[in-house]
Amino acid sequence: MNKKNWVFWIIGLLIFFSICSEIWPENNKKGIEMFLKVFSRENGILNPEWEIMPSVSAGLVESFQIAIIGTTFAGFFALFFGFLAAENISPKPISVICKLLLNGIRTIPEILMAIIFIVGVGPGAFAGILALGFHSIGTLSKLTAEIIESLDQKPMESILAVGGSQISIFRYSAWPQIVPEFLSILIYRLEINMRAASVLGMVGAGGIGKTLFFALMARNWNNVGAILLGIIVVVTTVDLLSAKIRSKLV
Amino acid sequence: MKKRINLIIFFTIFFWALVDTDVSLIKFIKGLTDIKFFLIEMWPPNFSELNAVFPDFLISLKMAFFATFLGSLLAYPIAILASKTTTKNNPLNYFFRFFLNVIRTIPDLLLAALCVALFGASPFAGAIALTLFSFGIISKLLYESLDSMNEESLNAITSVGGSWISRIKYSASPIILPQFLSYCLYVFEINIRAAAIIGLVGAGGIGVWLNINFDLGQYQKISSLLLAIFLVVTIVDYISEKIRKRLMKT
Repeated sequence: MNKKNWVFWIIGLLIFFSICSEIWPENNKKGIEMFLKVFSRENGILNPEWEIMPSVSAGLVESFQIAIIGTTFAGFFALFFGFLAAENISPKPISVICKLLLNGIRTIPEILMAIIFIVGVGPGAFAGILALGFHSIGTLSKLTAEIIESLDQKPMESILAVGGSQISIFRYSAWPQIVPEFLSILIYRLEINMRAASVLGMVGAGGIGKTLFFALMARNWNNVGAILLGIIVVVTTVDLLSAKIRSKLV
Repeated sequence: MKKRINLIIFFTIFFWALVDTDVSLIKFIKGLTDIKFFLIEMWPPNFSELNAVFPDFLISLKMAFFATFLGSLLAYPIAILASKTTTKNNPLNYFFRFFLNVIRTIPDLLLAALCVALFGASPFAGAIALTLFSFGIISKLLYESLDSMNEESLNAITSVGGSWISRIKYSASPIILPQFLSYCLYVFEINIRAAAIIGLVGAGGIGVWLNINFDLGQYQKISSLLLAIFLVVTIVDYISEKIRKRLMKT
């Protein structure tokens, strides 16, 4: 580590401590009390309430449904927008405009999208689906466009060489290259959306988040523990399945 | 044949989810008019109060910095313990990996909501939530790159009689440092976005104003806030990407 790095570290530390002194809570005692309460043996978060598991699993199922429908819808649209945004297929102005638009969509967080859609369709799972769907269109289309831009040209040329039409070039060379990678990013997106879907309920967009929100408001730590456990188990399962499917695809 | 079975399985799940959640095109089209009114009300953005909320903007930035700094400091030793190349102890590796995986399953907003319940609605809660979140991501990325590191230089230190600490200090650290810093910047980008939003659940920063203005129906102020957030996020992304590219070159 040279001198320049040390200077950066010291500046970083100074900023860090100045922030610390600003945001550090004054009534520390209350915080510690709260902490002990949350992690206490009987009423704490580590002692999940098993009796609410039916409603927890119902919420988790709804979150999963939100994630899977949102991702699938986004996938359909992404395939379309991906082609429009790909530089090597669509004309330059369309591709540039598309990419700008998609970037714009991507910067709006899911939770804000959810609030906007709740205004439209009312609270519930549907608003969550729309929010996740719209947000995912941004990312998925961008990745799809990148897949299309990096297609291997050689198989296409060989089909052209034996007299294939444009349609057969697409059907027998481009499409088989696109599908596995596209499915792979779609399934990866499902992982992310599963996490997001477990939170969206906090603003009223359906899923387990609603149950969690009420448990947190009531400071019922046993229930919070049960819900957290449920979320961790489901998200981990989706992650593991997704990793397995993706490793088979590519 | 197997493909067809997979497709059938997928579409059964998909349609089951569609029926179970109240997805309907009619509802969406009807809702579009409400969303349109909502968006029209947001125009033109009202920048008059932006001066007043500026301190909270800074708090969002400070939360992001705090979280990235503390999170990365915590992540470094844990990643070294979790990686197989630096710590030759399988049970220890798996213990830390399991622990990190559990942390990473919890989405940032959920962590924020938990911390708000723990520490009260304050920037401190948000900073701690983001710290845990950053810690999870950076450790994961870091131990993965430690795993894929070339072990020869580590072995060279062992062969001249170096201890475990000197293996890490003189061989692993210098190799991994640029990647580590690049991950920190990447997580800083994520944290900036998150810090702007987690105020919605009460964890301090600019999101608090989003929440207040939503409740008051001040939609023009919301659009000005969103534009300002968008600007800050874009600038930070741009700078961070520039630095990351330089880091990766050296």
